[in-house]
Amino acid sequence: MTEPLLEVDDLRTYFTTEEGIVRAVDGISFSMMPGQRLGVVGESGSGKSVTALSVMGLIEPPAGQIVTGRVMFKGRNLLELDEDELQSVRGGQIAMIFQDPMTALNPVYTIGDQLMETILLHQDVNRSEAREIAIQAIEDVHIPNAKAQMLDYPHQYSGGMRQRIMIAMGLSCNPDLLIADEPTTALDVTTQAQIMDLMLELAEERGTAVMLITHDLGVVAGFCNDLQVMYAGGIVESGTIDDIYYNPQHPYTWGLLESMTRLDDEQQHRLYSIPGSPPSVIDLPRGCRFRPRCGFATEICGQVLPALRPVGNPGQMAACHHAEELNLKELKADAAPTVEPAAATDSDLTDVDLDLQEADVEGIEAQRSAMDQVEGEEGSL
Amino acid sequence: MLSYITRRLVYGLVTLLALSMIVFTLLQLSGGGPLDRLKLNPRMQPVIQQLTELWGLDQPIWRQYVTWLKNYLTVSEFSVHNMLPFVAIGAAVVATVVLGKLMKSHWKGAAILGVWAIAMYIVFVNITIKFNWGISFQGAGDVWDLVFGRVGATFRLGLSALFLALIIGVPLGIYQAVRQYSFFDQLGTTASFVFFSTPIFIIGVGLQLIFALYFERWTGVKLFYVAGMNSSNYDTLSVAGKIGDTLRHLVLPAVSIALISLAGYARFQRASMLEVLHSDYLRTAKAKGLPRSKVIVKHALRNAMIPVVTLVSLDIAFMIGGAIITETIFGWPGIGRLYITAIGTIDYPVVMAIVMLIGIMIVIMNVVADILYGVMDPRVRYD
Amino acid sequence: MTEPPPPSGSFVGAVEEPSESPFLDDAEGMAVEPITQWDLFWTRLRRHRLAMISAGILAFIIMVVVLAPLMESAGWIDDPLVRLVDDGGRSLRNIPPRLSDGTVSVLPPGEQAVPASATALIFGSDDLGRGVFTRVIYGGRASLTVGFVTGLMVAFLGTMIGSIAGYYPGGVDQSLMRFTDLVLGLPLLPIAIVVGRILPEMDFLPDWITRGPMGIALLLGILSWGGLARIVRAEFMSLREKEFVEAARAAGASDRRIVFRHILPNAMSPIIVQTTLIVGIAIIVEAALSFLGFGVPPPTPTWGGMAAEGGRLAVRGFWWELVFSASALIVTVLSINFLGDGLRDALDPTQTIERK
Repeated sequence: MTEPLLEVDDLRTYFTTEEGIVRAVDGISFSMMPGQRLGVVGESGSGKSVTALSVMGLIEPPAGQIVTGRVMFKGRNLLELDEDELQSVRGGQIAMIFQDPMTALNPVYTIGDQLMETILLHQDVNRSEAREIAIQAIEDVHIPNAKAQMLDYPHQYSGGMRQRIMIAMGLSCNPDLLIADEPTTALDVTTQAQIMDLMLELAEERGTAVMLITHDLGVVAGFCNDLQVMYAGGIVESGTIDDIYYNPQHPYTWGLLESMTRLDDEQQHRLYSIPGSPPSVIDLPRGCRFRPRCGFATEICGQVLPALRPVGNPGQMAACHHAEELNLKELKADAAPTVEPAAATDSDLTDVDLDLQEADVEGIEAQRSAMDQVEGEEGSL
Repeated sequence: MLSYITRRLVYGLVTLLALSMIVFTLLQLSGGGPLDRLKLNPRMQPVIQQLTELWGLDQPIWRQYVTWLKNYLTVSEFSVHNMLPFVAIGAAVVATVVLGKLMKSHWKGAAILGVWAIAMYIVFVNITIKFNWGISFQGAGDVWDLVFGRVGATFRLGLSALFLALIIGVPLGIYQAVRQYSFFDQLGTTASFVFFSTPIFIIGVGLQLIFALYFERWTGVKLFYVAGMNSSNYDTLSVAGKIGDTLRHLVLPAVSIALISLAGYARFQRASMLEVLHSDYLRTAKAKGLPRSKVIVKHALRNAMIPVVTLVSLDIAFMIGGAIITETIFGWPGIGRLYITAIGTIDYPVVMAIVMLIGIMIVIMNVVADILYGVMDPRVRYD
Repeated sequence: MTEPPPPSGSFVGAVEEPSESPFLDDAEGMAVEPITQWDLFWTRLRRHRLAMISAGILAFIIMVVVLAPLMESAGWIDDPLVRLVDDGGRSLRNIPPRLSDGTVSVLPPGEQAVPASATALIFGSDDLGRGVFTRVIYGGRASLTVGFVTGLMVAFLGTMIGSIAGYYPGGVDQSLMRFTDLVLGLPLLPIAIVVGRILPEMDFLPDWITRGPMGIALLLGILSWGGLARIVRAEFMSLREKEFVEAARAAGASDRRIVFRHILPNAMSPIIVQTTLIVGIAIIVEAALSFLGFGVPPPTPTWGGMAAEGGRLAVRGFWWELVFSASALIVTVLSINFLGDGLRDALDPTQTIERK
């Protein structure tokens, strides 16, 4: 048996804010083998992006802090490395692709400059060799006329093209692990499929391990071998894609699966909707974090936080007290028990928080478009 | 790009025309003619005659304005010492075409701007041109000579202040942004606010009192001068003495102006830097494994400097207007003080000449700011 | 800038479906109190300590300055134009700050001396024997008038011109923006100096314009709205395309309703912030004009004029007129700017959690 490539052990990353301590990642453990493609699925705020940033060492103190845990990468604990050592890992052995390709590239440098910067940083080559590698990297992501593209600026590209460039940049140094944080969320559906195909092709070709972070179960299905579901800072279920899709053990996972449309679904049934909204990660409910939204919750769920333990198929794990008793595989959405009103009190505040966030997003968007307007103005004068 | 600049210059000309009409009309609205003071002196009769004829003072306002405008735009003296100006302009044109073909977009603009700046300097040094801006009503002589005799003083003061403000304000703002919410940042922000909110005359008078008067009274050491640009015995001093004398006159007024623009730069640079520091592309740069220093210098600064460069060009535009108060306080023989003197006696040829000079600077520097913006940010296109 | 619709299989739809779970809100009869933008704004502003202190100081200054005539008739302060004399009728010139000992009187021209107020000398007296404390309080009237009038004019003109240009694209927008560019290209201080110089001689204008700070206030208002107009226009242009405006339009709302109910409230933030900034600048420009001698003519006290005179006295060692008038000016402008900063933070929705 080979050594795992990445082993995360009891990782806790907290953020200090005005409102209190946000336990964004709260004690998660998992490992990845070389070449494995792991999907990390969860809602916004479930801690999946923070997990990625913690592995990359990109959590910014003093606001964010990794409180405890180990991140073993090829036998070294990344959390104990000094900044210099970490920098040689970042971009070289672990590369990362971000969500919004429109803003992830520096607008004032050419595509070529930005690609070559990474290559020169991690490989022992001179500028002309770096240029060759960069051109090759652009060709590898199927962008035609690579040589000419080197002189282009990011704003001349569409979102899909920019994400290709980001992938080219990420893979240009042949990393062992590629972390893709919602790489297709900001793209339209056709482009999404193309980008995922491209990533699959490149990852298989090179044997690169990929951690794919997404909220889209559909994207995961075609791409990953394994899946882990996160909820409110913790992992609630992990296993192979088939295990989880066809034999979910956690009510949350079941809820997610029942809420999506499936083409292979022969019987027609209602789409399920998980009641309530995720808890505020500042003020977590006692016991199981999913309890306030769970129809199967009993007394113990309100008292003891369930640990991740083997259940279901071999290798499958879930964090639910009642995993064995519930036959979620057979349960249909129409038959799901409703949530006891009393159990829901914990999320009273959460609704308000959610409203705030939405208001904020709207405001930010208004501002962005105002700025775009001004920029457009200046350009067209 | 060329059509964009041309368009901006045309708008600028319209603004200048409006400015001249507004100020001219305002000056005519003052009670009593501009020649009232001269009339007290019987020997001035021929001068009055001459001025009345030159400016058409016995005619309606709009005729006077037309006369003024015609005179203002008339070249009264023009000579070229040698062929150099023509060579310089020819070379600049060639360089523009060549560089335009050869270079990458965001260096191209900078290079062309630089070439033209050098060419313009060569032209100015080797050419004598003079416009018929008339004679000052106060018998102080030719307006063109009067104004341009003082340009040097104003620019010496303005550029020193700009230099001080830039080398302190910009790094300060960057440092504050990088160490956001630290004690130093809070201190810097508060100090910026205080200076930003303090009228320049209070800073000027305060510095004058503290550093020149009280300091001298307490220690007996004369560190700085409070008035003028050089001592009366300047010509007899050694080279080191001359430099020292110049500096001791320059420091206080320059610092007065610098303190306020410094506060502005620091605030602006901090905000602009913070925006960039929170951007996605900076996270990308970190994720590449770039060292922190390189992330800041190469990726953050380059973007954060863009708005600041624009601000600085606009500041240069307001150099003459901005120095009016400081020059008055420190008895600095620059354009600003000339303006105040001329306003006091409604010496309108001088007032108009200076107002127009300020206006022209604003128009030119606005265009320069636009070009610089396009040079630094490849996303901007002029069409 | 709209989010792409969530693809099928994503669980965005699963979590944001409140209608499916009405029992959550009904739990134990607890309704969730809606938080309005206004509540948010107050919460954020209250958190900005400096802004709150500044607002308090500013309110105090405004109250004192506005109520100066009342305070004078109550005998708390004196007439700013009369001289102070001692028991022997000698003029009290350049007296350093001191508490009242009951021996000070005021001597209006051609009248009998009457006892001065208790505050007569707490800021000292000037070169003509007038009480600096009284003059500092009355001196604020020019500054605050200019700040208030200019602020109102800028807010009105800038919002109106900016919103018309932003709401009606094409010819109207183009011509208004060219006009705005023109106004923005005019140098403020040099023109203000010219106007300040000739204002007292402009006999054809009514007295209330030529004699006091109103003329300068109007001028600054006319010259300073350009920046705000540009900002409002940009805001309108972006809001005009927003879905909620489209929805209002589709529902048959009139232009007036759309502008006042839907767009303007969303553009309030830059209007308030920019106006605050202009108020500070206007006060400084008025003070500078008075300092140069082109502002409100003496003997009416102004902070700028007192600073000029105080500067000359300070050379002779009489520091108090300069220090007190300058402090009043700085504290006022500083409070306005701090308040403006607090308002910007409070009105800026992106600044919720970032601030620590």
